[in-house]
Amino acid sequence: MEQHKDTAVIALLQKRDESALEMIRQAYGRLCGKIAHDILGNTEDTEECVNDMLMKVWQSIPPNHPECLRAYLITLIRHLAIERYRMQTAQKRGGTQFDEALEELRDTLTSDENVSDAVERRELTCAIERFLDTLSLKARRVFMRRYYMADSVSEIAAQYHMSESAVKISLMRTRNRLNDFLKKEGFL
Amino acid sequence: MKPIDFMDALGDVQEKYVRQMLDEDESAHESGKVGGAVLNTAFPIETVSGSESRIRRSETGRPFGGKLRYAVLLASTAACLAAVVGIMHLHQDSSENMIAESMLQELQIETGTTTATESAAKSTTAQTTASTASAAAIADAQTETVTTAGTAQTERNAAAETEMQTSVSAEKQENVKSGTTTTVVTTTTATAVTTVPATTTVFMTRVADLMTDEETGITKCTVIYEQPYLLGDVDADGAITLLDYFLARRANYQLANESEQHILDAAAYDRANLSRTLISNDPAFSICYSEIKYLALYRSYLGKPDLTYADYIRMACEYPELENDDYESSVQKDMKKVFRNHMEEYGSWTDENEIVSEAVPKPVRDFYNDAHYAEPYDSSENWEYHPLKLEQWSDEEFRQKIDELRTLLAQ
Repeated sequence: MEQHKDTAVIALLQKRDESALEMIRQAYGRLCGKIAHDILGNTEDTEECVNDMLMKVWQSIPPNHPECLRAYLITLIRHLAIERYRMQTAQKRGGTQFDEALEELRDTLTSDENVSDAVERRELTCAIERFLDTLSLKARRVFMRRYYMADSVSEIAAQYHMSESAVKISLMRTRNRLNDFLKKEGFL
Repeated sequence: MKPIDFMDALGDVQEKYVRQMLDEDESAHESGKVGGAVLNTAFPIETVSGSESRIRRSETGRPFGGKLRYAVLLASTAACLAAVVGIMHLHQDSSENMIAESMLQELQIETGTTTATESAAKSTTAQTTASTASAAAIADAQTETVTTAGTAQTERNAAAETEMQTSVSAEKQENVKSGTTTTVVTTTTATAVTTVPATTTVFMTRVADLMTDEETGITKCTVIYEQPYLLGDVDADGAITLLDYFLARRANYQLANESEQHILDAAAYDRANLSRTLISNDPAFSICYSEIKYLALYRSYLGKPDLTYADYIRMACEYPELENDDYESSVQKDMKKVFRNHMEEYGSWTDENEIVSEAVPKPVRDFYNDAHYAEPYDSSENWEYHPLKLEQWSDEEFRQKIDELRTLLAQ
């Protein structure tokens, strides 16, 4: 959706006009659905997740007034999908891009340290932001695509016109750097 | 920390990082540049509006960016599924055990010692070789195991659990090459007949490793094991050709779509080492159809008839890390250097769905391009995937086409 349409949708939300939600669904439903599906790997859960996201949008705008609606929605859907993913950990799963991405990170990040409370999690987020700042634009973009959006290596390669090998190597190097960085920061 | 904690925390990063990622995508595509690397300008680039930016080549009217994204998404998912199918058959207890065993094997490889590992799935036997083994011995061992696995595949109805061990005879160790370790894990499936190919043999084979120089911080890919076995030889004809590519790609599509029909059986997966981890124990590094395609093209048409997967890895990975992390251009540079006299512009070879190089005979090119044709995208279709012809063919049509291609390749 173009920027001015985003602005119009947000304006509708501010006026409590429910048609805004339908516009969001039409414009971003598939994108958000894809992100949720990559994490959950289940169509039914994905649909529920998208509905939850629309509810959150309704509840959060206003007071929020996102500058970039698309980024806002991606953040929301990702949170909701991961939350749902956590709730389902007792169930057998596997095969989603998110599972694959988690698997890649397991060797890099697993430690006995627990990220137990909200404060620690916030500190970790700040550390991640500092780490992202150390990366080149390209490496950062590839990293975010893989671990934020849960895009597959092949998707990233196609998206950025890179070879799959180049994407894999970029990710591996970034993971290694992340490991070093988090060790220095005391998270591992 | 658990990876999921990291994912959670990553989700809380400031919106600017997300926006930056999204904005960069759009601006890059609008300018015809991605990450500083200029796209092949021989083809006009058009930007497609939608929730995800896509690039199209408008010359032929065929999209490749967006469609390819979904093709490769499916393929990637299929590759993942193939790996998961194999691993799940080995380790049906839990993913945690799978990881623990994987880590154990990594440790074994790093320490140069290996031990037999029994999985909780009752169907796994680990067979190991010493920390030094000859490439020839490994090849023989693989062949031997594959043969056994193939037999097991045909005897799946017997629902027998079989332990297979492959010994490496002393005479085979004449060509000892230090530093090479291979762990072979074999299993048979004790379940009822199913149409889903169960990978019966898994070779935890490191072909290459990534090593970082502590002083310089430069990471290089070192090929530690010259793979004499023809990785990617799906049809077992002793060569890697486009036939292997088509079979692998079709199989990936079938797996991704949970088709009940499968063009490849477990033995073929074993033979080709499809979806096997080959570099540095990183599951991201595995053979998929695109690697087979490149190998086939290089071997058949680009003057590299003896090119192996190990060479391919070396070519793709062994280059110094640049300060600006410009991996792509560096890889391109190396590839161009190696194949300067054989390759056309690099862009011609990155599109999975089209061959334009005249190095490939026109009949073969036409066949390939036709097989990869899909309906052009409608700009309003944000997430629709249009299957390629080769994916739409019935199994019978596909087999006929493979025969047709075999004839073309023989000419």
